Amino acid sequence: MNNVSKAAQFPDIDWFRTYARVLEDAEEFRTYCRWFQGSIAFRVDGRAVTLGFADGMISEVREGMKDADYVINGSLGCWERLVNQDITLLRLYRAGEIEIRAKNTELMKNWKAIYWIAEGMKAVAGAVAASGTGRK
Amino acid sequence: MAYARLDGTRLYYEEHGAGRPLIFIHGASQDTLSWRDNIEHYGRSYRAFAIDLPGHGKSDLIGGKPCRSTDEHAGAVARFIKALDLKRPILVGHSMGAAISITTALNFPSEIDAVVAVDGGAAFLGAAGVNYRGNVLTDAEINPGDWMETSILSVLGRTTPMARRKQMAFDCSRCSPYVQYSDLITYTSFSFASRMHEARTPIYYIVGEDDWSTTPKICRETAAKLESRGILSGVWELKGVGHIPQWEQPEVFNRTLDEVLARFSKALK
Repeated sequence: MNNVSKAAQFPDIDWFRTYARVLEDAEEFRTYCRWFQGSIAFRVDGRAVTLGFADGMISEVREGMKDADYVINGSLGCWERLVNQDITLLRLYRAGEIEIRAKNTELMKNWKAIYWIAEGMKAVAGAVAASGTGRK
Repeated sequence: MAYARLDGTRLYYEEHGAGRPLIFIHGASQDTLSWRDNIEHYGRSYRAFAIDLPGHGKSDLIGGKPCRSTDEHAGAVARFIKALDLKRPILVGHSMGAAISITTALNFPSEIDAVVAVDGGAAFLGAAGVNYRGNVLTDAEINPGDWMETSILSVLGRTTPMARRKQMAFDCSRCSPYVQYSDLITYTSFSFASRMHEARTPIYYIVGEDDWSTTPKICRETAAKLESRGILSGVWELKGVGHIPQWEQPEVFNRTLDEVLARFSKALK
């Protein structure tokens, strides 16, 4: 396995860099998230990567969850259901399988943007496969 | 199309065909559009109605407020039946509409011939097939429109294309946020389990295989409990379909409902 393919594995930070590129090109992100401002930490089995969002762009991808406005927390198994299956953030959150730490008014006000940001994770598998950098 | 007058308020309905009355009752955040691919089919052999529940579509609020219980909605359905002088209609209710149909049959048993519950109206304990975690339901009041829209996108079956999903989500976004939140309260407060002993009316279930909010399993368990009490029941499970079969796969749904209605007619003979 070379460095590139290793880097594209979820939840490594390079997977999130690919995710950021794919997300910025996604129609739903451009439509529903263009006014979203904030930072979301994706926490997987205690390890987090934070993405910053500003007016339809992803301003940063960094390790850790310090100062994140929203922390979405779940086990690797739970995240893999979101990333690889037809299962949405709403379903996992509603059932309590995934936890979101945030100010509840901000979370609900921005719910649609956060929903589509999470749905964008499903497109990474296709993008990685197309570039030949997927999990072997 | 027309309005029924219910104690000073107007309830919008669409009507097709002649014969035995069949009333379609939509789910949360929806309206008569929910049955646009179905009602004409049933107008060929029934006097088929689709109604906008109070506060939905073109129907007025009752008392200036959205209904917040299946009992309130059931009262409106009963008044609609009386206003049009319909004789023992069959109710076909989807999701929250299934809960309302069952409540109508429980509260007005002499007025309803049978209920077909589509992806709803099953007897489980708790708020829904997959329970709402405590704060989620109350937080949804902050932004019920986006919550309901993404809920619709989340409950459809794997065979439903994204364009169709977005159309359904858009249709639900026509509903007022105040009514949307009241719908959430309505369907999560329905408890058939606590009233099943009162059931006298046949209740049949149609459910999508991929529906995780009202699962095929809970529908089968409910039907078995009804049958053990001597109530006509049964379950029809639709492969690859989610929570809204009449939109997701209208032809499959219509064929299935035809079977259900035929089963009921045969049972009456």
